[in-house]
Amino acid sequence: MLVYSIHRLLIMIPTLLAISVIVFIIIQLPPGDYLSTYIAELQSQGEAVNADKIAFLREQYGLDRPLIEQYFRWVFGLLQGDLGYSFEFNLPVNQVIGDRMLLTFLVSFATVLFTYIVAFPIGVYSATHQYSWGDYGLTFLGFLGLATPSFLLALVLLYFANVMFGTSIGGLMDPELIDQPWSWEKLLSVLEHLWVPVVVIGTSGTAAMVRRLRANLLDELQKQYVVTGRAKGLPPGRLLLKYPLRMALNPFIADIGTLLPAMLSGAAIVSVVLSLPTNGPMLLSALRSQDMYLAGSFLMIEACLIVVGVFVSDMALAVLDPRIRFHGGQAR
Amino acid sequence: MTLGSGLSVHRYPRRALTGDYVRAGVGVVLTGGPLLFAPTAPMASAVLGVLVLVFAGFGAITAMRQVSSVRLSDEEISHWGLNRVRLDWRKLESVKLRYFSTRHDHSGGWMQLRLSAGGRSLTLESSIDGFLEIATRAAAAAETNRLRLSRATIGNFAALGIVCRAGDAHGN
Repeated sequence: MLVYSIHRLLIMIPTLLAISVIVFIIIQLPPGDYLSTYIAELQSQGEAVNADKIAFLREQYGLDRPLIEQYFRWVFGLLQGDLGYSFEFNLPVNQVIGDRMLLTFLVSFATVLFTYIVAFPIGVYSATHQYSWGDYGLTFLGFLGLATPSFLLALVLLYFANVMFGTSIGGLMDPELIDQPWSWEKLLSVLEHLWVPVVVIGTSGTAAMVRRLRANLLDELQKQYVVTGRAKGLPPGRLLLKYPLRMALNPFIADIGTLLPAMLSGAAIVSVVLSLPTNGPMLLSALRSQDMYLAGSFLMIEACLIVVGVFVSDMALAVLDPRIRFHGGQAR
Repeated sequence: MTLGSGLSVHRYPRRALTGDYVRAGVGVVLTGGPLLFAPTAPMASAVLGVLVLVFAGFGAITAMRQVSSVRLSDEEISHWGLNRVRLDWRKLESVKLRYFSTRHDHSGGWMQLRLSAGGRSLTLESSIDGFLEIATRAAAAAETNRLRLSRATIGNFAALGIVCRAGDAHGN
């Protein structure tokens, strides 16, 4: 296992370096920089642009330096925990994203919990009661969940939450509590608002997971070892939990790789529709305004989480299912 | 290398060890370099420090492999090196054969054989010379001792061309 983890770690390090280069190139790709966008904005509003001030700012933020130097300053800054400076907010990136990270994590964690708690029993029921009325009904609901656009569901749920429960429209808390310090009242308000984004973001994921779990489990249930276990008199519940369900879970373990970054990215479009103070809308805004360090930090954090998530899922799969695949190559 | 009376001696070939030394060295340089030559945040220092230790530990384990050998006989399998382990085939309690691959299509991987008896265990990588011979002997001992092998172990033995009839399959 140590040898395997060493191999995987050694793949991770150059991958992260390559990602950092790609992220830096992507955020530099649009013509100009934040200051050129800022100048264009001022000019479109008919305001005068002070060339000396712009030159001073360009020098201060290091935008006049060669790209390679800007890249190394950024990367070594990341190692020191300095994510750079947000031009748009006039604040260090660490301060800009601090609270948003917390709220994004809260929304995403609740969504993941919702998805797993709802999808697992439904997926198992659908597979073990194939072609029953219950299976047909849940399959129909699943397809409905997959087909409904999230932003549309968001609008509908916002309306019903407001009409039926009096929940304020949009956001993750009542407007008067936004700049208040954390308190029970604020926490309760967050919990009151939380279910709408959780259901909206989680619905399509839940439906997809139900379909996959049902398909995987059906494959396993038809295998000979299950028939043998049944013939030997193993109780159905134990037979299901101990063997086929475990095998059917492999794709979900592999999903951890995408789960971690999704936890922090926060579904961007839904967040915009619901006015959620999460990372998604801020990343969109940073990309549009060429706030390079803010956008770069988001992208780099997500890339790190993908790499770490894939590492965790690979290690878990290696522990749970260390089998050779016959369609693969030869053993060393 | 086969000696008289069914005894054979197995070692890790230099080519496999060189690859592992390179991996350990590259890992130490890539993770230790920033620690030495650039100021890092406490969190980053902690992560990089742990990684340096892991890679250095891997280098040490590779060095231990280089000076060790495995002796296989009809009665026992023994590991000679800094830690000496001797397992009697008749007292073998557990056999696990696992396959690892870092590629997406699971090709180009390697196997790991773990044998346990009397609270001692011995782990061998498939890069050791004569691995097939060792695996065949382990499978035979598992069959004789009627050990329960995991489905993964049985499948991996089958991939090596070894048919296991030991006990019932269980779990992964």
